[in-house]
This record gives sequence, structure tokens and C-alpha cells, in this order.
Amino acid sequence: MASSITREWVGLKTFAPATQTKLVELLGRLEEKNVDKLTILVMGKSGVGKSSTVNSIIGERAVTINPFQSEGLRPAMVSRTRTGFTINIIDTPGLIEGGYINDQALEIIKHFLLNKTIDILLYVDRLDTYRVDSLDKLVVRAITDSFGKEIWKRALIVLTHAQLSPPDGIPYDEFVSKRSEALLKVVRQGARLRKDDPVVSSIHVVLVENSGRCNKNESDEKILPNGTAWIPNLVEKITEVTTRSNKSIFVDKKLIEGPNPNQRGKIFIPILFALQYFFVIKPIERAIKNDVANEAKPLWAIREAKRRF
Amino acid sequence: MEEVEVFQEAMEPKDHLDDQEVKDNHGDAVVDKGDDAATVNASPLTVLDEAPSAAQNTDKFEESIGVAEESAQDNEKVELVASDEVGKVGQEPPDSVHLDGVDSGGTGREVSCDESSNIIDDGLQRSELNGAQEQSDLNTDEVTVAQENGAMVDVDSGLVSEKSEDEDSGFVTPRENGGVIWENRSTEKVDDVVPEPNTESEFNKMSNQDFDAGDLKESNFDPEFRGNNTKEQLNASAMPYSETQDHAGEEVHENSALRNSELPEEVITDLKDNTLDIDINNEGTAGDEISSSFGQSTKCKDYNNDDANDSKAGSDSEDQEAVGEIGGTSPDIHDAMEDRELIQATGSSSSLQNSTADEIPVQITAADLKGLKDDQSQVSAVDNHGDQGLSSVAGEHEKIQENNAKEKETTQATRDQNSEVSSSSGNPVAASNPPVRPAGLGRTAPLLEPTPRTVPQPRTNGTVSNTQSRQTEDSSNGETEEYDETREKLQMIRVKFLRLAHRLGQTPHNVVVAQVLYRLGLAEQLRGRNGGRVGAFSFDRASAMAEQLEAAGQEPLDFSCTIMVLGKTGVGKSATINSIFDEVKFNTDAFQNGTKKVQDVVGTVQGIKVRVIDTPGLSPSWSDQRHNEKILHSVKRFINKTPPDIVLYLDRLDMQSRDFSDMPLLRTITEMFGPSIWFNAIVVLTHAASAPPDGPNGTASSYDMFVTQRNHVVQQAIRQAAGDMRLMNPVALVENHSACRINRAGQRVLPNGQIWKPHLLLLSFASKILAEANAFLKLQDSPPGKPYTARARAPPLPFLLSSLLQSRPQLKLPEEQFGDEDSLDDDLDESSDSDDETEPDDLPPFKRLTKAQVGQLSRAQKKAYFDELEYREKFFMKKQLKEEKKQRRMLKKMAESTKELPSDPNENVEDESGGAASVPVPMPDLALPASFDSDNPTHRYRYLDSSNQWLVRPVLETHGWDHDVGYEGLNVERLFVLKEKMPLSFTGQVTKDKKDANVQMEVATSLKYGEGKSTSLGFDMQTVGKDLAYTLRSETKFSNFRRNMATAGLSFTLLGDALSAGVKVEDKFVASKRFKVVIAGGAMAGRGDVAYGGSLEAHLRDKDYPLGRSLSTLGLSVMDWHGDLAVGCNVQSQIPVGRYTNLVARANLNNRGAGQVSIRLNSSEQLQIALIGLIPLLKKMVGYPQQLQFGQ
Repeated sequence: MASSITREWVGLKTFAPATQTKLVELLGRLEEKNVDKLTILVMGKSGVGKSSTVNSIIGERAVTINPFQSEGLRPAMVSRTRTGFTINIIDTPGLIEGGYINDQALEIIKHFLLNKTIDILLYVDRLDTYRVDSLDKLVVRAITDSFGKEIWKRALIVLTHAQLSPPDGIPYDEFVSKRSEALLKVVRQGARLRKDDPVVSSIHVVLVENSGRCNKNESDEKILPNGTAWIPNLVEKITEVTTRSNKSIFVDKKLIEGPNPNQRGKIFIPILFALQYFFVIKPIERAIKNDVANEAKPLWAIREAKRRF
Repeated sequence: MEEVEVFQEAMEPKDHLDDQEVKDNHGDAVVDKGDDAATVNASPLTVLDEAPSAAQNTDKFEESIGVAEESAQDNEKVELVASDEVGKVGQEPPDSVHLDGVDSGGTGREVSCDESSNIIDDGLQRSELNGAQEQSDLNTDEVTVAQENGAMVDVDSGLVSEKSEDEDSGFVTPRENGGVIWENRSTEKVDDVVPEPNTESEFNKMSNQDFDAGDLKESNFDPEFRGNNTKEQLNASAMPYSETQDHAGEEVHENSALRNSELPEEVITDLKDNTLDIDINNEGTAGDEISSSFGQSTKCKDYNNDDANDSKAGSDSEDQEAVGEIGGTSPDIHDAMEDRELIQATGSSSSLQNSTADEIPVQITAADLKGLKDDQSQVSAVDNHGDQGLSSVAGEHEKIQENNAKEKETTQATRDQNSEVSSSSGNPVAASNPPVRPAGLGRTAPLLEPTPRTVPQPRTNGTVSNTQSRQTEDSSNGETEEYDETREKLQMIRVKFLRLAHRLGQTPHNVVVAQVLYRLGLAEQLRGRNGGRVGAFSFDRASAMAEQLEAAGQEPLDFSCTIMVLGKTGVGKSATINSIFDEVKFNTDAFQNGTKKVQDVVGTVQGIKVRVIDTPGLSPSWSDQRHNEKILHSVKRFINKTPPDIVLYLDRLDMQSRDFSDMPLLRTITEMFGPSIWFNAIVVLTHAASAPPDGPNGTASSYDMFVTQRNHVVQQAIRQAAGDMRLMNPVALVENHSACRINRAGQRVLPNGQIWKPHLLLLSFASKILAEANAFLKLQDSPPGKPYTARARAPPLPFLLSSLLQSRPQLKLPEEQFGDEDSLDDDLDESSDSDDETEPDDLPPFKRLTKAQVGQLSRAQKKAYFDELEYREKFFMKKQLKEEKKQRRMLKKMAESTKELPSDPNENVEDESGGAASVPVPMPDLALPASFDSDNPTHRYRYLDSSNQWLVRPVLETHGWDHDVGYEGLNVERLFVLKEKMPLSFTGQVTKDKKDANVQMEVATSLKYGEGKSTSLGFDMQTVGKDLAYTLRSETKFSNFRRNMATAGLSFTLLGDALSAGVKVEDKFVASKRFKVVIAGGAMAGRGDVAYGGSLEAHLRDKDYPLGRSLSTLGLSVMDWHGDLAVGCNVQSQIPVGRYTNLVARANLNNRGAGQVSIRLNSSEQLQIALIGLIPLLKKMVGYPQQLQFGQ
């Protein structure tokens, strides 16, 4: 939190008026719920547009992006305030490196998030990638392992590059739903959720188009091919998830480092002692006594005893 | 170089004698001509009209002669002055000459005289131009002919282009430009014949003005004549390079003269016999021509021009004889005959032209009138012809006929014939066209080989004739036949590729096409090193052929390509295949793996058979590599039967994987197929129509940048996966989306305007074509490092041989150790000992003076004193030596006697040494090189000299790294005695510096049996490069005479896995105490490779050897390996000059001309001499480096 200075959310002004009003309304709704702080964690594979999405939400170039270079390993937090409401967006580096989950990056992210509360997880992927592969699953698993299954209750799937014309003449909505299904399946598998887990069905899929070439409607809002203005939509979904009764994820040491191995199984120690006492020590003592009693004394001992007496 | 020399020789007589002679001869010739002509001469009136022009022409001609002479002279000069340059020219005439030729040709004579090479080139160039002219003329003729039968045109033009290609060797751009011009011109000609002469004259203005005026004229007359003419001229002008070139200009004159005479003759015959006889006559003239050319050539050898005149004089029998001769000699005569046929046609037409213009008589009369100045007449003839030629050639048959209409009766008759000819020009000429082709090919030979190299051959053979030269050229062709075949095949490949490009709608200017063609050309050049000149013309010809074939559309294209598609899942492999074929061959699904197994599909794209292998998508995750391997295994099995020609690696353009996330996948591919799979791979980026992402500053990056960046990323990943950083895979873009922009032709267009499909296919085909060419030329890319290892495997025979040839001293027992090098010397010494013995005790007592005392002496006294001192010193040393020797001998005897006693020599030695130094003594520190390091590390490397039999020493390398104490190794030595009489020495050394470790070990033993016979056996082990070399050698020495010692040796070396064996014989001859010669010879064989070597070493010592310092040695070594002879010589002499001065002279030289001379003067007498050392220093400072050592 100390890492970045909280600044006024000026980027809000850069949005189209229609978007602005919508956003203000949504923020008001949040304030109604006494939410004055919103922390959004953005995660996903590299190169899918996480940073761009952050910039889009903030409305300014808060995070540097480079389409051809891999970002560093450090996550970055962008904080903006508006009339007492603070929005924190944590941008993370891509989790995949050379076909593996980048554990180092994950560690860094976890430690960065220490003692922070995550209200919303944005799981970012591209809409125009047709296939899901095991890497997606790995990313989901890594997130789940880091923050627990609970995080998916406060997660949104964000699909970037939403402005596309689907291949093979598939209708746009069908394409989106198919892609969403595929991703949700991955999330379900990666998070080891049961098939009928209500969490899965509760995850919303939001479309995003960060490109400067994004189409705009008559009120100068950036819209998707299906006509929705996506920034208000995204914020709305975020609001919705936030206002759900689920509590936010607080990242503490326990969550990061997992359960303390020193504490684990402490309760069994007396039982173990007892068992040991009754089933190990006692029989041995008995056996020894028995032995001593039945011992055939050697001749010299007998002689000694005799001499003494 | 040889040619150059010959040239020089030949050059000298040229200017004076021959000119006159030639003129005279010409005079005769022309007179003859005149006679002939006179009989036929119809209109003497025109003579007057033409006279002035003739005069002008003579001027011109003289000028041209002058230039020729000048150039010849200059040539001579050039030879003398810059023989190197000329040498170059001589050695590689086609290239260098051409290079300059075009330039100088353009600028003209004035310039050319100044520049040495230019002039030389001038001649050649002229000849070439002539040749070219001839070709073009030929071409035009052919064209005119071929206009009627279209199919032939292309072939012929192809031939022409080939010729010109042959002429121009591909490297030099100016030439190429010239070539291009040519090409253009020829094509122009194809378009219309009329402008041809103009362009021609324009192009080689100068050459025409020069001694080739005759040419032009003749070209007007008939191309075949010209052909011969130019050929002759070629010879003539080529001669400057060979020998007879003195006659270059002269010959040219002759030629022109002869031709002039011939032409009239021909014309005459034409005029005379207006009947069908003309054919025969023409034949006759053709024969004449050939014979005359014969005559000329023989003449130019014999300087016997009269023959030519005679032959010219038109005795048919002689001609026929000549023809007969030719007929016997070579099949080229057929060509000649065919030529004649053509001549018939064209010649008659030309005669008609001439008759129409009425100029021939003029010429002849001019010749008559100006009988004295033959040259003039010739020139006039030439020029008239030239002038007329321009018009006449320009004039087509119709025109001629028009002219003919104005003719007299006689010409009317000829006109009949003319009409006949003209009418028949279509048919007979067309008929004679095929013959023209072989003739053309035959002619290409001299052009192909305008090198003077081939020309001297016939000269030296003694028979010089066109046909013969042709023959020889043919034979040289035979040599390069293989190459020609290669070239032909390459040409076919080229044509094929151009056809492919054509079908794909790509022009030859497409980058890919151009590159492929360039590489083909390069390959060709690499292939044909010697005669291999590749012109831009092969391309032009190929393109013409390709176009024609495509236009005809009949010949099926013999090409099929198998493409395999690899890539991540979901990047669009199947979709790409569908796009290639423009139909749904495979079902695709955006969300599922469409392709479950490897499958192929065969189809045709633009009539080209294409087979595509589709593979299931691969997964980028490491955890999925097992799965990938399974897929790739199935792919491997699938392609075992039909390996793909090209592999497309697909990835998406719009995926910003910048973290090498595809690395596992690429690695797996590399592991499965080997890195070589990437050599023939094309990177295909799909989704190419996607918009570039926003750059860091928010503005969209340009599409090209996007593609470049993305390509770079993929390429880099592939390089890493393949482990070969030199990989450069071509990149193709693909967009399979149905919404892709489409141009009018229905082709998909990328945002950068590229139509991707043809491009992709072209890239694939290009790879295939290049692979084909490679396979054909056996230029397969050898995997990196392989040649190196191959080279490393071949045993370094010379090295082994020289180590074998080294004479090694025989190993000796410890007690013999202190004996002299060889007992022979001892004996010699012994014998000589008594001679110069003067009792030292006889000398008067001598008292050494102190330095101060010496200073007081006068100069003479000083000298006397020092002489005396020296003498005494010497004497004293001698005495000492003698005593030592005596002692040694005593010891020897003692040792021999003690040998009877059962005592261990080892112990003996130990006792001895133990007595002396039983306590280990620290050895003095070795001097370490000066260093800036504060710490003096010497103490760390102290070692002791103990009585231990093992002698262990550190190895100091003074020229090591900075901050490194030079102790880099350890040396161990030990001498054993086996069975009391076999010494066995062991030496081992291990050094290790920062880079490599070296091990050297030597075990040697020797056995002495009998008097003067001994055998030694040795085993060496040492590191050579990265291998260990094990050598086992054995030597037997026997002194057969008192002063002679022979040695025979054998050695086997195992280096790496190559075993080489060597034999050597050595003889050592000690002539006297002072002179010693060692001769050694040997051979080393390994891996079917033999190296021979020999060495000679002579020593000349001072009279009183151990005292005197003078020593001269001569070393000579010869090594022959792979026919590569290396001779080295080394002379060293050390002479004491005076008391305190020593002169050391050393020189070495090898057969490559590299050598070193060094003279060293040591003096402690005159310190001032040291100042000499300042001279070079000062000189250097002034800027004139002068060194005492001259090295190369």
C-alpha cells in the first residue's frame, strides 16, 4: 500500500460522458454498501493484455506496456481515489515462463499481496485464442494454490481482444459463449472444483477491448461488436461481485505460506504420548521386570551373595 | 604469366616488319581481287564518286591501324612495366578483360591508350564486340528468318543470349549492363530488323571504326562471313595474349582484305551466274573463305600471306582441297557447310543489295585504281559496304527488289535469282536455321573460351586454323562438358522455377524469385570454378523459355512439392491448408482439435502438384511434451515414406508470446527431427490480418514493425531450440479468416498489400528448387563443424614425417653418459690429437697484467699482449679439454672393467652422486618475467635438487597470461638401466594453461649389439590439438664405415583414429673433424595419403672445434604432400671477426618465395657500433622504416 502514492482518479474524466455517468452511478452503489476501498487483482498468462486492461480501467497510462517485451517480475499497484473511494488495481506479471509456471514470479506476487485484501480477481485471457491448453490450467491451479478456492467466488474472467470477427462464420455471441465455456471448464478443472459447484456458474465472463482501434458508439463509448459499452459493463460486473455477500480474501501469512507445519497435528501429541506410554513403555517395563525376576544368577554372584551373608 | 612472356617476345617484331609485309601482301591480295573484280566490273563510273569517300575511309582505317599498333605497343609497354597486371589479365582474361573492356569500349580509343589494362582489353573487347556484333547479326538473320517460323525465334534468341552470356562472365556489373544492353538490343531486333544496324553501329561505334570496319561491311553482306571474320579476329585479337599477336592488326587487315576479296568474288559469281549455279559458287566462295581463313591462320604462323592470296585467287580446287582437309579434321566443317548454305541465301541477298547500290564495282575499281594503297581500297570497300550495309541490312527484301528494279539486265537476272532467294529466304533459310544452331553453338565455343589459354595450344601444335581452333575449343568444351551439362540442368531448374513463379503470378523481379535466381547463379559459379561464368543471360534465356513454355501451356511442369505443417494447436494449420487449396480439405473447429491424426492431402494449385501433410496441434506446456512426442512420432512414421520438401512452422502473428513459452514445443520438435528440420523450414504467421497492438506510447505500431518484431521473436525461439544461431528462416504471412480483404482477382490480401498465398507457395517452391539444385550440385550444406572434424581426422602427415626425420641421439648408459656425442668423434679427435700438440710447458712464463697496466701500454703493445693472452687462453682450454678427454677415456676403461664385477650401476651412480650432494639443495629460483604484481611468487615454486633418481622440475612459461606466474607444468625425467646394458629413459611433461592441457611423454630405450650397431625403440605420447597422438618408433643405427653411419627407422602413429606409418633412412657422413653431413629421407602414409620428405644438413665447424666459435650450417628440407611441394632452405653461419666481435648470418627461404635474412653482429669492442642501432630508429621516426630483417 505504501508502494504507491494514492492519487486522484483523473483518468475517470477521460472517459466518454456516458461512461462517466455510468461509472459514477456504479461507484455510488458501492458507497451505498459502505465499500470505500476496492482492490482488484489482475492475473493471467503473459501477453494477454493484463496491463492494458488496468490502463483501460484507470483511464490513463498507469502501467507501461510493451507488446514485444516481457515485463519485469514485479507486480505493480495502481491506486486512485475519488471522493473518498479508493480503487487499487494490482497488475501482475505473466505467470508462464518457457512452458512452466514461473514460481519466482508467483512468490513475488504473493509477498507483494501480503496483508492486503483482494476484493476482486480478474483472470485475464484472450478471446481470440481458440484453444485452451494445459498452460491455462496450470495458471488457474497456481492461482488457486496461492489464494485458495475461495478466490474464485470473487473472480471475473476477462477476455481481451474482444473486437474480432469469429472464424468460420460463427456468430459473435456463440463464439464468445463457446470460448467462455472452454475457459470456465479450465477454471473448474484447474481450481479442482466440482462440476456442479455454484462457484463456477457464478463466475462472470467480461469482454474487453483495450486497443485504440476499438469501435465507439454515438456517445463515444468504446463498444464491443455486440454493441455493449465494455468499460461500464466491466465495472458493473466488478460492483456486482463486490456487493455479493462473500467476504473478500485477506492475504495473510497463513494463506501465503500455507499452514504452519509446527502447528499441524499438535492436538495429537498427548494422544501419541498416551499411546506410547501405555503401549510401548509399559510393556517394556513389564518385560524387563519379568526378565529380572527370572534371571538365573551367575555363580560368582551367588558366591558373592553367600560371602556377604 | 607464360602467355605474357610469350606475348612480350612476340610483340617486338610486330610494329616494323610485319606491317610493311602485310601491306605488301595486302597489295597483292587486293590486286588479285581487283583483277577478279575487274572482269566483272560493270560500272566504272561510280569509282570516281566513291573515291573521296574511300580516301576518308582510308584515313579512318589508318587511324584504326594506328590505334591497333598503338595498343599493341602499349600492350608491350604494359607487359614490361606492369607485368603483374597483365599477368592477371592473362591468367583470368575473361573476367578482368571484360571488366575493363566494356568501359574502354564505351569511351573509345583515346582513353584506352593511357591506361594499361584498358588497351589490352581493347583488343579483346573489340574482338568481343565483334563477336557480339556477329552474334547480333546472326541473331537478326535468324530473326528475320524466324519471324516466319516463330517457334525457332525463341530458341535462337535463347542461343544468342547464351552466347552473350558466355561472353560475359557473370560477376562484373558493367559487363552485365553491357549484356543487358545487348539483350535489349537483340530483343529489339526481334521486334523489327530495321533499327538493328543503327543500334549496332551505335553500340560499337568505335569497334566499327577500328579495324572492324570490314566486319560491319561483311555483316551487311552475310552474317556467316562475319562469323568467320570475327572468329578470325577473335583469334587475332586473342593472339596478343598468346604469341602471334604481333600480327593482330595485320591479320585483321588481312582478314578484312581477304574477305573483301572474297566478297567481290562471291558477288562476281553471283553476277556472273545468275542461274542455279550460284549455289555452287557460293559454296565455292564459302570454301574460299574457309580456306582463306585457313590460309590466314597458317600464314600468320608462317608469315606467308601469299598463300592466302593464292587461295583467294579463287582456285576452287585448292579451296576444295582445303575443305577436304577440314572435312577430315573436324565435324565443324559440317557447320561450315551449313554456314555456307546460309551464306548462299544471305550472300545472294547481299549481292543483290550490292548490285542494286552499284557499289561493289566501285570498290573494286577503287581497289584497282589505288592498287598501291591496298589498305585504302580495303577500307573503301569496307566503308562502302559499311554504308551500304546500314541501308542494305536495313532494307528488307522488298526494298532490295525495288532497287533491283532499277537494275541492268545482268542485275535483272540476278534479281530473278534474288527474288528466288528472297522468296526462298523463308524456306531455305528456315531450313538452314537448324544448322545455324549448331553452328551457333560451335561459335559460342570461341566466345565461351575467349581465353588466350586455349589459343596458344593450336599455335604450339603448329597448325593454326579456324576449324582447328574450333576443334580445340570443342575439346576444351569436352573438358567442360560435364560443367555444361551441369549448367544445362541448372538452367532447367531455373526455367522451372521461373515457370512456377509465373504460374503464381510473380514477376522475376519479386524479391524471392530474384534471390533464388541469384543463389542458383552463385551455386553455378561455385560449381564451375574454372570455366564457370554465369551471366545474367542465363536468367534472361530462362525467363524467355519459361514464358514461352507457359504461354504454350502444353508442356506439363515437372514439379511437385510436399509441404508439412507443424505448429501449436489452434494456430490454423488445417485452415491454412484449406486456404492453399481454396477448398475445405480438412474440417476445422475453432474450439477443438480439428486434426486428430497425421494426414495428407494432394491437390493442385495453379497446375502445380502440391501435397500437404497436416499434423495435430502441439501443446506448448512442458507437461504436455509427452503428448507432443507421441504426435511427432506418428508424424515421423508418416513422413518416413514420403519426406516433406518443406516444413511450415505455424504460429499466430497476433500472439504476443515474448517469454519463450513455445520453447518446450520447439525443443521437442528439434529433438524428434533433429536441428536439420529447421534448415528447410518456413515460419508462417497466421492471423496476419490482425491489427498491430498498441505500442508503449499508446499509438498503434506499424504493421511492418509488428510483423518484424513478431518474426524476430519466433525466429529467436527457433534458433535457440535448434541451437544454431545462424538460422534464418523465411517468413510467410497467412490469413485464413473468411473476412480477409480480397482483391479483384479474389486473392486474399494482407494489410501490407501482400497477396499471401502465392508468396507462401513461392517460398515453399523456392526452398524445394534450391534443395533440388543443391542436391544436384552436391553442395549440401554440411552441418557446422563437420568439415573441421573431417580435417582434424586426417593425420598431419608432414608434421609426423618431420618428427620422424629428426635424427635422435642414441640413448646411452649412465656410465657412457659423459662420453662424447658419438664415439666416432672421439676416434677422430684421438687421431688428430697428436698432430697439433705442442707442449704447453714449453711456453715461457706469462704474467697477466692488471687493467691499469694494460692502460699504460701502447697500442702495438696492447695488441701483442692481447694476442698472446688469447693464445694462452686457448692453449689452456685446449689443455684442459685434452685432460678431460683423457680422464673420460680412463673412466670408460674403468667402467668396462668394472662391468665384469657384479655391481649395480644404479647403485654406483647413486653412490657417486650421493657423495657429492647427499643433502637436497634448493635450486636457484627461475627468473620470472617482470610483472606489476606486488607479490613475488617465486618462493612458492622453489624446488630441491635431490639425489633422487627422479628428476622433477617445474615448467616455466614466460610468455603466459598477465598476473599469472608462468609455472604451468611439471617435467619428470628418469633414466633406468635394464639388465645392466639397456638404458631406458622416461620423460614426461604435463602442462596446463587456462585453455588446454598438454601431455607429453616419451619412453625410449636402446640396445647396443656388436660394434657400431644399435637399435632404439621409443614410445611417444603427446597431445596434438584435442587428440592424443601415440607414436611407436624404432631405429637401427649401424656405422658401416668409419666415417659413415646409416640409420633406418620405422614409426607408427595413432592420432585420433587414424593410424599412419612411416619409414625413414638416414645417413650421417663425417668427412672430417670439421665437416659433417646428415641426409635423411622418408615417407609417411596414413589414410591413403602419402607424404614424402627429405632433409639435408651440413655442418662446418671451426678448425679447433670446442674452442673456435665459427660454425656454418646448411639445412635443406623437402616435403611433398598432395603434390604440394615445400622446399625450405636454411643457412646459418657464425664467424668470429676479431677478438670481441661475432658475426652471425642467417638466411632461410622456401619455395613459396618467403624467406628471412638476418645478419647479427655482436661486438663488445666498439661500443659506438651500438649507435648503428639508432639509425633504423631514426629512420623510422622520419618515416622510412628500414629494418635489419626482411621478412615476409
